[in-house]
Amino acid sequence: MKALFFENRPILLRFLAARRATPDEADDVLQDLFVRLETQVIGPIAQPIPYLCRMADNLLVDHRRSAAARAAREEAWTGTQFGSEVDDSPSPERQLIGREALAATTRALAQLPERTVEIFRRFRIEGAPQRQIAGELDISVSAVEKHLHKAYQAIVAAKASLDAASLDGESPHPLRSQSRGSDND
Amino acid sequence: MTEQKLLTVRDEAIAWHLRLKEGSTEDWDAFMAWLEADPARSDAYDEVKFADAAITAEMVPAAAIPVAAILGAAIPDAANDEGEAGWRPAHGRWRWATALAAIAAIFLIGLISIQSFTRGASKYEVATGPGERRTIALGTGDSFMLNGDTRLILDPSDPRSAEIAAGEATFVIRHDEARPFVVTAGRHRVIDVGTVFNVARDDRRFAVEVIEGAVAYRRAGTDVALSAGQTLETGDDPGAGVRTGRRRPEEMAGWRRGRLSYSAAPLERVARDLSRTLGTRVIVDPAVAALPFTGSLRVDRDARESVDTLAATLDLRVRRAGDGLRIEPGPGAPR
Repeated sequence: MKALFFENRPILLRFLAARRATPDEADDVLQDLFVRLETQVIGPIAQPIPYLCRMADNLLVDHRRSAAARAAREEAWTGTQFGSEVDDSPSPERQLIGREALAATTRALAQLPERTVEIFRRFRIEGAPQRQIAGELDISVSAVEKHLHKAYQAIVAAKASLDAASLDGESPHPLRSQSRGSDND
Repeated sequence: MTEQKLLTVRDEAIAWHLRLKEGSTEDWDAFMAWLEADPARSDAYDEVKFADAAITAEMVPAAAIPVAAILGAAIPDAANDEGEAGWRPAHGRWRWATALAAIAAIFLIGLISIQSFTRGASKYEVATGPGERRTIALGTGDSFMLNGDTRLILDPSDPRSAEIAAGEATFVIRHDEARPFVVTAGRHRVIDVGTVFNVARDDRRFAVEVIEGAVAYRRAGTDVALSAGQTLETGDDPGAGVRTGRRRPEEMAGWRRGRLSYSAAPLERVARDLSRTLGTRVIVDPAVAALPFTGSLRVDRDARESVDTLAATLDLRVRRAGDGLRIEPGPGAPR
């Protein structure tokens, strides 16, 4: 596993640079990746590059999301009284944002054809591969992909308009604006 | 950036997101080239990934009759010898493969509908890596939340059961009087009576916490009824005793809220929970493995921070050990 990591390190570095990871992000992702390879040995890996790139991509996305969540939490904390009992339950404000996001996405999906939603659910919630869904519905893989593409268009658009609305001043901390330090390139 | 260009880039990013789920080495190479050509593309891709990551099962209601529940998950890979995604099925070879798959599917539909009454469709595994979380919703209205380092085995032909091979999960079960939901774990069985409950399993310990409703715990020679606010703990040995206890339901399955609470739990067990939840291996010096820990730990932050807090409470110290962290007796600690 170690050898696998070092052998493919240049590709991972290229990947992280292409994903515009800051030096800190790249360090964290590579370290997490290494730890996971060491602790989670899954036997021989048939296609190491896709496997490693996918892992690095997931770790980077997790990293950016939790950095955004942390920034939001810290900002919320400074606004509250110091020394209050540590309370992990989300503030009413954040609960509201969560509910808004849930409602917006649910609404966006509800406007899609039932079949599109079903295919999306099968793919995203139940984790079935596209090929399998195509087989089950007796349609082509590219048809499955078209359905999924439509579903993602709706979801990403819903989220983008929600983030844009919160930028206008209502609810703080749009995910994306927090996701990266502005002092790095 | 114009609106039009933004939309085009977003569409491309969605296409990449779908394609890379099962992408080949060439796909990843092409993806990097796509990213490198325009710095705005990585942001657009992030936008898709963040939207994707925020999706939860409750946003995607099940159709009246889930297709998957009828067919199960047993279309084999026979028509496709390589694990490649069907990104552009319009190419000659792929068109044939698709056609063959369709023919195979027609045969299989007949076969499966008979088989599911006899042998059943193939089982599949849902797994999380250390530190990862995942929510799975079945078309039946049941959902499972998996903590890190957890393996759950599901059987499409028996949607009222799940097997937990390792790790920890919370089960939110729609009650069905006629067909109770059963979670199995080796010799252990937990049978719901309409419920939200948490199950944790590792090589030594099996534990159940009932958050809402009631369950029955069963194994050969044992049958224990548990209601909300009750906990059960036992070992994997056939002769292991069963201990029941009480706990406030709002303290149960703390990993879902980024907090783990303990009452006189051996340090070694706390370390195992931390490894699973944080995704960083935490090991304990045998000299202090049995020390009891009582208290609450935040696990939604830096792993090192959580482990430091734990160690500080017990007057121990933390050292980096390989890729993980090791808790050891403090420098001046009485032994």
